[in-house]
Amino acid sequence: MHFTIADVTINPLLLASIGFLVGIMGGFFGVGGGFIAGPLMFLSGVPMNFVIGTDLAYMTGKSIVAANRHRSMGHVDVKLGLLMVIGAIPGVEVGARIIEYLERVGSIDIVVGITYILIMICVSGYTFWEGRRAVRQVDAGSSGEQDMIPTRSIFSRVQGLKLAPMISLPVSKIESISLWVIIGIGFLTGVLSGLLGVGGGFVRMPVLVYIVGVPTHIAIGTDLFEIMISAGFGMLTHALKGNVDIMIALVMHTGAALGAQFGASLTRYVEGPRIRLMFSILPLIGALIMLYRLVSGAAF
Amino acid sequence: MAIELGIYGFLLVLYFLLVLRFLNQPLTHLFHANLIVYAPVALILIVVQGLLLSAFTTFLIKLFSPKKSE
Repeated sequence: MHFTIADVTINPLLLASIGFLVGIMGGFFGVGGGFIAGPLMFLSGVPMNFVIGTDLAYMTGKSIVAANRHRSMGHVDVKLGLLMVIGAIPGVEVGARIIEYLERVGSIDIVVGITYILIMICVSGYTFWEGRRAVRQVDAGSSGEQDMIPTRSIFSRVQGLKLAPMISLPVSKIESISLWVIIGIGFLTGVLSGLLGVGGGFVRMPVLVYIVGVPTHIAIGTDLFEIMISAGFGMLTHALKGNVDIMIALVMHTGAALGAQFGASLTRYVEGPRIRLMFSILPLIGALIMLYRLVSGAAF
Repeated sequence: MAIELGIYGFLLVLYFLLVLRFLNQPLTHLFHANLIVYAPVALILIVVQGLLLSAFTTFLIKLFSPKKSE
């Protein structure tokens, strides 16, 4: 099939298959999957200037399907998601400004690349250690998922910060938390997204679980809800610059819709600690892709 | 899952042939003529497809998933 906007010929079934695979992962782990979809799109022939914008368009559609599925299972905290978006949008702008500054200084690739790799290795290492420990406790028959998160003292302290206005998040089982904590976390993950050029799902999901104290399944669904809005916003800005081939996104999304449904449904059968343990592989893949980019000078 | 994938794959090919091929030219024309209109149209298209496919795949999964005994 010839995609006339990007002026490229690609087998639509290949695009739908990429969408399907990334869709399963996104629905299961609550991530946008841009760090894997982007390179795969580039390898399948999508021109580089269309990769990011088209990926955001596809991510928007995929997150609608996955978030809708999670919502039907009661896994989306809409209030939490919307509040994080308020912080995330200026955060992305700040991240983009830091990028502009680094471009002027001329050390952007090395600074962003090394920051990215370090953050990903830390996230991966911690979720692996904690997930494995929690899975052992599940297998030993301990009760209550939240009891198995070793950062209870951290999120109890975070929830205990008395910085008005205080809000409650009943869906996430949080009785009282400062509004500024939620907006601040949205802002910080937004800065990372803008700085590292990723959706930020694989940073936000662990932050919601370990620092805010949101149950794993709700963190996944809420993260997808947030991605749906922020990716839609990002897609719109890229489309205005002529960087979106919506036909490619629509074709990829046909596969992703089914994959996201399967991925989201699978979370019903897997306990939170096991999801966190499996999740630990994702940031490592992201780090390896970035390492490859730094070493080889590849554009994606 | 195999039956679901089979049905979905068949409908997917139909969708590529009927809908997306017809959309290709008008959208390309819009892309080159007016990006300010193209951007919201693109967003609307992906959102509408997201909602439609969400409903359709939910229906397929319900249709073929084994019935739970209460």
